[in-house]
Amino acid sequence: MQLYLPIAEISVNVFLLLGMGGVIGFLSGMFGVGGGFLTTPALILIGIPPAVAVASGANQLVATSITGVIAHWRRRSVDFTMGAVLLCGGIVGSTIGVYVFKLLRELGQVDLMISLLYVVFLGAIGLLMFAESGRALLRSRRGTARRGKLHQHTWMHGLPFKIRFRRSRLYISALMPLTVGTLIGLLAALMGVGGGFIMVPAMIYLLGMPTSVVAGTSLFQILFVVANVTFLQAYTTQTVDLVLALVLLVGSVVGVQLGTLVGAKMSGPQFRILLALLVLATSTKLLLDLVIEPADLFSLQVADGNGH
Amino acid sequence: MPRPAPFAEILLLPLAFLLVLGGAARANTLVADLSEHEIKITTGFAGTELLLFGANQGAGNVIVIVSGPDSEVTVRKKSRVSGLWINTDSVRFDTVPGFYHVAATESLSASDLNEVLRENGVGFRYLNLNPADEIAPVQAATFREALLRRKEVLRLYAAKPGLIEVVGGGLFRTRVRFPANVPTGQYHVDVYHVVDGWVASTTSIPLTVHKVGMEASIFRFAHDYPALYGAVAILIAALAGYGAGMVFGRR
Repeated sequence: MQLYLPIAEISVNVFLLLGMGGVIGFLSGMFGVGGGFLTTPALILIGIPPAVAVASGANQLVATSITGVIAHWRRRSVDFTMGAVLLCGGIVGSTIGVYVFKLLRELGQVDLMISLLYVVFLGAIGLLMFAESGRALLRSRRGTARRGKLHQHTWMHGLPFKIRFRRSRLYISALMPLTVGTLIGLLAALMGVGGGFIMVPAMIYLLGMPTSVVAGTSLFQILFVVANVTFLQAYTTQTVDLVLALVLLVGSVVGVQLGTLVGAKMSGPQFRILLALLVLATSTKLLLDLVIEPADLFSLQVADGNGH
Repeated sequence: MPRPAPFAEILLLPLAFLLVLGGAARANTLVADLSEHEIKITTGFAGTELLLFGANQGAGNVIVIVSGPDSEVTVRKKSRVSGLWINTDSVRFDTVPGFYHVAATESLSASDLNEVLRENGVGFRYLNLNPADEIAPVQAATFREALLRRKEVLRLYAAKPGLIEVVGGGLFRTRVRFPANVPTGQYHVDVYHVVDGWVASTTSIPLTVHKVGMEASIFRFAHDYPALYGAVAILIAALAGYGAGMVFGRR
């Protein structure tokens, strides 16, 4: 059954979209990430214009992150103070990002930028995660689990504007989460992702937050960032395809539930290795597209982006 | 959208014949019409096909040119920069038809067709595709070829002219295929009656392609009230997410 998407202006098979939403939802439920980093490349792959893929992906993430926040809020694993500070940075970063996106689109470099960001960030995070979980897996086999230093003091702890983050059991400068939030907001707008896969490692390794509150807090701030991106993309580029977002959503809602069940049955390092492989595969595919000579060196861009 | 049923053609052809008989008093009469004057893009739109039919008096050939709304197109060329394929050159074309289709009667050989099209300045390869800025002719030609090639891949331009069937008694008909990604707007459908390599008479048929129903409303909403659209998009997604959280969360 073909479905004509009003903003993307192409017709796609509705079951293909539902299936894609389902698979991405399954993976995100299994691994506890938003899945935006998979949605955007997958949409581009089936022929959705990149600008529409990014903007509609953000719209779909509004729904997925709200579902996640509700679940975490019930378990009291959301640090609202930390979330609010990250959010202030996130709003600033994503606003700048939307305008940079518009500028790059006029220069014809938006596809390159999206691909490069994906290759660099997915590649780096995939490798780090793979190495870390590989070591963890080996350690657990040998049974010599060692604990690292719980808390390290660096120059970052000397910064002013210290705030107490009760649920995270941290007393650090507000400038740190503010900077992290801004950078991730910027990436979210440019890549059409919530930034969970960058946010989660940043919270653990840069801010030193306990793992238990990381997922909920990152989802809380992602919710507002993706809402901001959706609004600004709709306002400046009119590339949010509501029909596309809704069809993906229906598929992913079901997928997430199944994924969560499967994810709960796996051990930590095992699933982190699988996630790392998934992330690495996506980034390799995008890297190859940049490096291998394209079949046709020429491409068209119709003024106004939508063929009008 | 379904193809026109065969019986529609059977009904339409005598109609065309009556049209031509009515105008038979004048010499060189050319009449033509389309099975539909508008293409409606609905939720299930996956491309459509229209039947163009007509009749002409006397000997000669018929050429049909269907061209879609003009827009500005930038053609970009990738080249290798430190190992990566990156857009480096670009050429802008001001008025590029979004859709272009040529059809001709069989007795008009390909070389004759090209000749006629060129002499009359109307053909596929003779589209008035000139770069907006002054550039070297060789480069302009490369980019023009690339533009035509990409449009062919999108099935918006045809690589070869379509065939106009001659039914007999001056009656002719041809099918024009519109893909799902057909641009919306006002189209020009021009029919030429060619005698001895020159256009003896022409006629135009109106054709509009537009979105209707939900597709049209959503598109207009997004473009006319972008801020409100953004807010509604967030609200709908939020409600859907909240609903899902409530339904599945209760365990």
